[in-house]
Amino acid sequence: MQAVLTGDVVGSSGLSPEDHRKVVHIVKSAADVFPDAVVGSVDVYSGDSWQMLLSDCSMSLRIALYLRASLKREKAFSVDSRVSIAWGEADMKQVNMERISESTGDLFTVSGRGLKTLKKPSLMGFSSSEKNCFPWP
Amino acid sequence: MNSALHLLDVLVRRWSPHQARTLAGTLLGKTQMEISGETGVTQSTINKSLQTAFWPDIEPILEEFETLSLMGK
Repeated sequence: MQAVLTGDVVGSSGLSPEDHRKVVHIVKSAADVFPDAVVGSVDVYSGDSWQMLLSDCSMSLRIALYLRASLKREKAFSVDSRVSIAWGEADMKQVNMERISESTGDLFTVSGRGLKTLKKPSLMGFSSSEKNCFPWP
Repeated sequence: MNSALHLLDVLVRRWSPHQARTLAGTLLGKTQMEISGETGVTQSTINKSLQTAFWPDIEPILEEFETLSLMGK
């Protein structure tokens, strides 16, 4: 089963252009750190939003935590990220490998919706586009 | 699952930059000695950082999440 992580960086509005570039680099570098899990590249859009497709959903929480740790570790700005984790099957015919965020299909829709419905102060949520795809309620 | 993630999130939100640096390495499977070698921070400080960052509480949740996801395939 695959997973789509959708997120946006929290606290990025006050960053200098240089620090903002560092944040984008950190988010994008997840594809280099987890090359076997991240399909293609991490898509960063609208300044502080990002989305990635994972070939293996079992890595989804670890990568979400790693990304947040990588952002929070920076003493100069120490930003965080909201993350919506969604599991499901992606129809690869609907996946835009150049721009993951322009992909379509239930898995991408559910992940994006999960981010919109995250309630403050929570920064992390889980959902699935498949019914009964995991063995817990 | 969202209840467990919510509690996990509460812990993650409290990570300091120093704790987050240690956790980033730990999440990649690095040992305390390896992180110590890379950062120049003593192993005992790394260990203390993991404790105060709630890693002993986070690791079982992460492992359960990964195990269950493999079962769900």
